[in-house]
Amino acid sequence: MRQLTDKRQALPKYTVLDFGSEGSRGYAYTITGESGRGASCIVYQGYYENSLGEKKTVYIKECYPFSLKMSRSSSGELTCEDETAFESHKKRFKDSFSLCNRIFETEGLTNTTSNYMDIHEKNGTLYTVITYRQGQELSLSDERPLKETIRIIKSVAKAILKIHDNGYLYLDTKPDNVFVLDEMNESIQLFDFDSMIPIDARGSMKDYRLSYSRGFAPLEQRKGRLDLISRPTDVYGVGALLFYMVYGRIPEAPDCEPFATYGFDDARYEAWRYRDRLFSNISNFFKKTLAVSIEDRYQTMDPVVDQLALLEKDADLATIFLKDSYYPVRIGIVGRESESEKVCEFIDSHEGCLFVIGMGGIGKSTLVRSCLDRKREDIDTVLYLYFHDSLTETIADDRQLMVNTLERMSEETTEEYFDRKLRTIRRITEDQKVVLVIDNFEGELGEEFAAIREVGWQVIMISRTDLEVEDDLVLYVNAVVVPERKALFERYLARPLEENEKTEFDSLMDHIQGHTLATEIIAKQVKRSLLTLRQAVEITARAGFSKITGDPVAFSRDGVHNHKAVIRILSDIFKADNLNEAERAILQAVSLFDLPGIVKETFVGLSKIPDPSVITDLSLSGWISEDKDILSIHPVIREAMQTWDWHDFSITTTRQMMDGLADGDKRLMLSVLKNVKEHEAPRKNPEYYGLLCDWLKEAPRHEEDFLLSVKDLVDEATGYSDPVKLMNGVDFLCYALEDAREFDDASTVLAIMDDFIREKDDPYLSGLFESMLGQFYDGVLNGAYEVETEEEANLFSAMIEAIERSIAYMGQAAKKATDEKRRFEAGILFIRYRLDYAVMFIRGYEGDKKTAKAIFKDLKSIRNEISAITDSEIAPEHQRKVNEMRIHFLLAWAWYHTMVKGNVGVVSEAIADINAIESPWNTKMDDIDFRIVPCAEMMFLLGLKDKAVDIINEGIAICDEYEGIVPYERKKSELLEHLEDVRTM
Amino acid sequence: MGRYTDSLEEMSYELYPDDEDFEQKLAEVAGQFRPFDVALTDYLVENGMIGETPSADDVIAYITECCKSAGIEPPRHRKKWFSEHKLIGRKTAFELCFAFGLNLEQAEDFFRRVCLERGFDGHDMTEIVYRYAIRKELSYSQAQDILSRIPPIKTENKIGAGEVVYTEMIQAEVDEMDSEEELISYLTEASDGFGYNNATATRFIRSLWNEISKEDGLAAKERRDHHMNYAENTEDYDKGESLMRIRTPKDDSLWEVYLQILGLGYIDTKKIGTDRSLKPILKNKDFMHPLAEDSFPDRDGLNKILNGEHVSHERVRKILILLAFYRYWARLLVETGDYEVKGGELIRCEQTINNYLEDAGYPALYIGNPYDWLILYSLANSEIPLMTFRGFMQELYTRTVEETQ
Repeated sequence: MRQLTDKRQALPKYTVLDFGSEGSRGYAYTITGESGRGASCIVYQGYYENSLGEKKTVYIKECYPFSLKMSRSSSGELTCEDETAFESHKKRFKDSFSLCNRIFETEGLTNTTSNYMDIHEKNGTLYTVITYRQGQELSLSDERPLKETIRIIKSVAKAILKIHDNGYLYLDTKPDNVFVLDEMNESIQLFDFDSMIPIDARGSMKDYRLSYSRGFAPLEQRKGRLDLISRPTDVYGVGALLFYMVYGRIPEAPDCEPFATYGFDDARYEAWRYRDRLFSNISNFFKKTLAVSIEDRYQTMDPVVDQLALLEKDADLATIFLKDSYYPVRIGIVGRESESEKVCEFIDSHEGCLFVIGMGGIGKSTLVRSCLDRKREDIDTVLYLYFHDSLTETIADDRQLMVNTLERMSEETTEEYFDRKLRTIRRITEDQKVVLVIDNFEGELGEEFAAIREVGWQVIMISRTDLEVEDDLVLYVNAVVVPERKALFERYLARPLEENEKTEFDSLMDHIQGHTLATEIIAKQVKRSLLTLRQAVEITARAGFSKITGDPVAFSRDGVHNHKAVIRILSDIFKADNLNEAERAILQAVSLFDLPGIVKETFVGLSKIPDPSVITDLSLSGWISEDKDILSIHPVIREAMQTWDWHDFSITTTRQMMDGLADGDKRLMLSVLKNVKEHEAPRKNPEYYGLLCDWLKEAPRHEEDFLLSVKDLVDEATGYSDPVKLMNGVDFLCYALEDAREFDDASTVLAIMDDFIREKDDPYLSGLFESMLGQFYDGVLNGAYEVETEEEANLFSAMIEAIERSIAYMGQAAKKATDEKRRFEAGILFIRYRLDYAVMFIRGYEGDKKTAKAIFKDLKSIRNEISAITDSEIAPEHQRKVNEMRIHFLLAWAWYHTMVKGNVGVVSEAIADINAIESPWNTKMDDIDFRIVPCAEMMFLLGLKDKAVDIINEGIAICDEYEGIVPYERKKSELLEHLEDVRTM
Repeated sequence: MGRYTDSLEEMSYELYPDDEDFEQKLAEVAGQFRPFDVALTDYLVENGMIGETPSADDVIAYITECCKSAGIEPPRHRKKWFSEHKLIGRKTAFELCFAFGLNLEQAEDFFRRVCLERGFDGHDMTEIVYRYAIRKELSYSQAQDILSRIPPIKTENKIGAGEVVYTEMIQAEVDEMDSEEELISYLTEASDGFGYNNATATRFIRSLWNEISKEDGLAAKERRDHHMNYAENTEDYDKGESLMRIRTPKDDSLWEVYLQILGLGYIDTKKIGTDRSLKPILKNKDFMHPLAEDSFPDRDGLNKILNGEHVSHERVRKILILLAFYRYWARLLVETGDYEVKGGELIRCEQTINNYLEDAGYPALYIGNPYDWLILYSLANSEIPLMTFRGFMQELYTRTVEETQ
């Protein structure tokens, strides 16, 4: 949309407005430029010289209405065709100046309103002079943290509160009128007081002009309802200002309704970074400021200021806090009064652990979630976690249990992180009521459970198995009681049962014993006419359900039997439902994501399913849970699907999804990799192995179990993988196997890869393989380079041969490579292998001049190769690898001059060069291991103890930054030992 | 004028669907709405433009004279306004504004109170020019001259992705303009943006409709939790049969949800000789004023708006009001589980509807407008506004069935 042409002519730069020249008091002001325009004025920036001759910057506001036909003469004089209208504008301009002066002089407003120094008449119009302060208007382009934005708006609210206290309404809150001063973020000045009216001016409203800015004025102001305009009108303006800063748009009718909801997906700030209560409190703030009904808004500005102060506190990212978990809640569960009462009583009790036991699909989780929802107001934080692998793993999982400032380091084991996380949580939840729920718990209650209990939160364990519990409360959940089963069924049926349906319903309930999940699924199927009640009765009759009781003895006895019956029923309903290919594909694909599931939008994007409405159909049929856009499948339904065949459409969908996951969320990636691993049909595909190799490259240490289990897939992988990707993936796998001292497995994997490489006849792959082999022998030797046994001698010579072959192959690969990427990678590896080889000999150097000469020759040749690469030639994506290679070379060069030449100057120079290179390492730990430790060692060997101490202290300082993180604490102890050695030797 | 609206407001408080003579009372209210000729006469008298008790001929003569002196051809059917109580179109209404020499505020008021319609539409280039001309006190012929200098006006445009021109933005910009050249240049440059009618309203309608009609939306929840038993008005109820069996929506089709909103979820359209249209039940009812019947929310209009097609302002406004009204009560119903509401909610609902209208550039609810009256009447009946509205619609249906039989 074209902007309107403003034809007003501003005074030119360097115009001097001498207000003192015509006998009146005042300085001569020199205009330095135009600062802005309003409907009634042009604002200039300028300066005057004070009595000491110092230049003082000011704003000068010229009365120059846009709406009037005006012209300016060459001398700057303004004339208007409609003199009366112009005079009336000038009068308002003067009145506004007087009002602004009064406001400015008011206690508490001096710092938050602009200082209108004086008013002068010149050029046929009026000018006001305003004190200049450094700053800018509030704007969306400022990337302020939310906390600062709230603080600014709180300052605005405080200023308006003062205006109210002085008997006026401001009525023009908008970003353009908020000037944020540079000195301090919280310091603001309000601009433009033309809309102000006295609070008690209702009787004489005609004397005031009532205007508004679109988006920042409530209904009563827009409708010109002078009788209704009051303090809450300004309250709306402040709410609208925060809304605008949070969402980047003005509030509209739907945002002002009593039922308005304020989602934060489209906010300018990422909700996940903040504590949950911030956004529920901001929502509440909007409800009480933007409400269309005046009575529903805060009635004065005081609570607005108070609430903004609380929001400011909640938006502080520097404070450590726990994030609430999301858990789906079903509104109004049927029956379960006594069970609900027990769970609620436990939540009220403030201590201990409650075990909720019952068969799968009986409604344990729904019961607990509904109670949490009922008691939500009394709980500070709810942590709802889905058990996976172990309690340690579940607690350590940052996706489920998030502490804003805590993150698992790749160097930490799960156990180490578990301990650290619990310590932190204990510290920050000391005065809080926290309820931790572990859903779907399996396994035993060992030491980790004891550690969890010690935190001091209330724990609810939901499990299918009857756990051996000593002093804690246990609640056995059984089927909904007979009188409530009809209501439960009708709820999902969405209509009352007809008289003629009641006999069949009774038979059905008899067959399934009121099992909750079975009831829900059958009712939904009947509702959607996918199943008749008669068919349901027939299916369930075959299942052979026995009575579900709450008796602990009978529970164990009947549990397995009835669980099988439920699975049989679900399988039969699946058959009767006659799912089409697309529906099966979606169900199978969603089942690959562990609880809490996957965001629908992400799933649709990944799987590229042609018709996403099928998901809704499946949700209405009860097969998929869709809550707040998160898709998941009930564990019992998932179990019933385990025996399904994978048809073409399902395989294609899953392959599509795996392809899309390549750069995706690591947790989703792992969930799919683990689950697809169990199904041959979707697994035997390039997409699975591509994804697996991608994951292996960055496999975190705490996923060691799955990582090591991948060894069983290597043979199969050779049929479906990209050879280079596979080689890189297997390299990481072998490294993990060797690290775990699983040399037999590593050897088996290498044998498979040997066969695979032979077929390829590719020097690059052969080079990679030989390097892996050398690394394997090195691992087996475990540093025993001074061989003592024949076996060690054989291993040593096998290692040397493998390394030499790797160098030879990689040299060939670098020469032969036709594409640039391969040439670069082979070139880098060729240098890297030679450097490693050289360093091995340098470190074992015993004075043999021939070896020294050969090493030096090699190093010089490498130096020439590296020097030939200039920074301008390096593509940005290669910079990191080049940096790493340069550091490796400089280290080798320094080692040579330490061990062979003892040349302090060259070594110091090399270390200085290393320090000047931008760190290519992924972690600070790598920096310590690959740079700090060797450099300190070299200095020590060269007799420069002080320098060695300085370098070690640098490493210790890094460790101190990671206080509480076990690997760094361990590394710090090592460094302290080094320090001691250096000092005492 | 005040007495006229006061009396309508009072009547809305005294009507209850349970009343034995409910239908008769409604007809009385409909009779209270002034036909255009009466409203026009009242307007001229109130503003001192004509003597205290003018005859139809006096008014016609006055209009003729005003038109002639303003250089406007007098409306051809002006006599039929009085003899047949005919309504006038927007073009004629604007001509009258020029003829009477109304200013901007008076013209808006004339549209709202006399024509019972919205004021200027910021998406219509002709109306923008009229707005400018009236603000600058230009003559009708000067306005026509400006119109002849701007590109042809598109009337059929779909709202698609990308930038949409919003009523308020256009009006705000044009209201700041000072010369014809500026206006012509603006309209010429921005002509592609015109033809989009009611963009804000369309966005609101789409969003409201989605919340109401989606799977497990408000309509589905109302059906599920309240079993939507309209049995009181059906023969089936007398037979003791559940109505859910008669009409269980197989899907949330537009027609099904539309009928549900109106409280007609149970109707058998064959009985009233129609298919997917409610025209027969609205027509020729003595308690349904022609202005309420005109552009009454319908399936076709809703469908067109959802598809981004052009429909009349009045149709858009009425649909927006209906959806905002239903959405408000359905949300409350889902929260409280009860159709009965507390007093404070009634004013909130009215303000909410007005906020939607204001944001979309339409006039607020006005008790003198027969369709608005129906909504305000439902709100005035303080306990069950949704059911009151539906009671009215059911009354229309029952009467139609009786007439058909």
